[in-house]
Amino acid sequence: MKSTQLFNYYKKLIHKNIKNDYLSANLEKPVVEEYKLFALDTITSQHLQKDNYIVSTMVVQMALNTHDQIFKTFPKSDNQIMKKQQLTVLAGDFYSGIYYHLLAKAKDISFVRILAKGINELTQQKAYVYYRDFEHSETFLAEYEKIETALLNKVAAYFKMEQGIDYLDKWIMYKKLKLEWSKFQNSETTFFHQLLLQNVIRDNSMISLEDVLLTMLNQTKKSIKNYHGELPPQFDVLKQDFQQEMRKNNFLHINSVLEEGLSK
Amino acid sequence: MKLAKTYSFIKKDLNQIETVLEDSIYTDHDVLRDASLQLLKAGGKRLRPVFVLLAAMFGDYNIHHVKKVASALELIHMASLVHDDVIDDSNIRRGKPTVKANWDNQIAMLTGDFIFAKALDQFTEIEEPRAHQILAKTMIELTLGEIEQIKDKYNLNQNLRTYLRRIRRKTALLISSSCQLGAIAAGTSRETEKSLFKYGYNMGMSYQIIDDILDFTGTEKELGKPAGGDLLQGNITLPVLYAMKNPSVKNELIEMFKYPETVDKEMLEPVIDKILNTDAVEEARILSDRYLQKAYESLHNLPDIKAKKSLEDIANYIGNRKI
Repeated sequence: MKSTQLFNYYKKLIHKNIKNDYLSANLEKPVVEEYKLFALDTITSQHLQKDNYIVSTMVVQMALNTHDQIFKTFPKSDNQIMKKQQLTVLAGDFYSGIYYHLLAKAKDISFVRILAKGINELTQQKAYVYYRDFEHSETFLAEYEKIETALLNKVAAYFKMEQGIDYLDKWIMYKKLKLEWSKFQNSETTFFHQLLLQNVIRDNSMISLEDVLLTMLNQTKKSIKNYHGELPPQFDVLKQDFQQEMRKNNFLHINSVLEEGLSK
Repeated sequence: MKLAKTYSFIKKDLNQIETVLEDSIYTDHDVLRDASLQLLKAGGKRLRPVFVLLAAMFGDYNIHHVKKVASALELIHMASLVHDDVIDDSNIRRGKPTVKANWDNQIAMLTGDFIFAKALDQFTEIEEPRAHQILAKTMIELTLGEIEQIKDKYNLNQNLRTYLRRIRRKTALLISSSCQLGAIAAGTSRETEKSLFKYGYNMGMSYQIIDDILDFTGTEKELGKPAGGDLLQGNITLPVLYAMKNPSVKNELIEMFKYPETVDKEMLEPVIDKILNTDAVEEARILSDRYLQKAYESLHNLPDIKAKKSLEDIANYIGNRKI
């Protein structure tokens, strides 16, 4: 299955499971993080029940991401925003119930435990990172990576892939940063950008944000390139994906140099 | 009689559950730990654990096993309360500041997610898949009940059926599941389990109706929150539904809810007086009593053990809460 087909297949399955008419009518469709889908597909590739593992893990991730959209205080003056916020709380709770229901139906209680432990770690890490000032972006990056990878790490360990976890973490973080970088270039402001501005940069400067994002992206890229440890054979697809991206970047870079040359 | 007296013989076991609750919310992260502890120490009647323990006494009662169910259910209840306070933007619960008031919404969300995960982690020590299916379904229904409540806010065209479905999801199911899961954990017969489920369901319905009545008849001091708070937030509860049979009350509510954002405590006071001057509270009490009666009846076929007497006493207590 090609990755686009794969994403569409799982996105459809996930949205079918979390469907609720009232939430759909009032909230934006929750985002399915494709790179995590890809990673989960890699981790679970040899298991018959992989659909259930992938969907339940992604639904938990979406539940927790949804709760990140809650403002620290509600704007009481605007009833519509208030209603949206209230429904956002409930949407996250609803998705949490769905993940549990999916696994309970499949009688997979041990995987419920794995994800519950993942939520636990992730939530504690969020409380730590969201409410702390960071002197250096490197420290922030290292701590944020734990939030981004907590659930998938648990799943990888469950499927005995501890050996590749370090690589997996960097790969996930690279994908996340790439996404955040492209959103920044499209002038979109995300929760991650705000977190960086508040907890790391602290002067609300977009130039600094650009610098920090690029630095973190290059740092992560370097960590992946310098990774020399053994990897489970399943992780070859992650390596190939990364190499392909590097080739694509080089190609784009050469093209832009050529174009610049032409314009001169 | 005090509620706790009706089940004083399980006090020691309830203390064990309290310890489990405290241990399970422990974390190195100080804000999360303080927020969770604040929630735990705010008290509450611990009704769900009580129902789990009493129901389990109709089977092979083993506190070391049953306490996992009881504490998990209380944790789920706590997690839902901390998120409810965000939804309702409440700063006070049981007369004390809420987590969102002491910290902020984001900490309240994280605390709820953290406690919820702890609950599930703990509950996975119960191997029986059917128990998990019941709990998962209950949790989904609980949220759907809350979503319905938001959907029906300020909607004066809802009927008794809508209201009953909402409170079944919002309140009754978690109580009935507590009874049912207690029974499953103790391996009772399916028939006993069913009777206990029915008892919990009817008790839960009665309990919520009385809560909705108290919202009109109680004082701020008794309720730990302002009286009439439900209506102020646009929630149409049973007394309002009954009172709207009187056209003048209905018209007044229609007028008031034309601009919901302008409704405040002062505007609400004369409407509450009008509602109290109808038969609405009495009619709501009659419906609550009918559920209570059904709760007693559900216990008829169960053996006459101490736990049965306690369940009856709890029903008595709930029925006689000051209205």
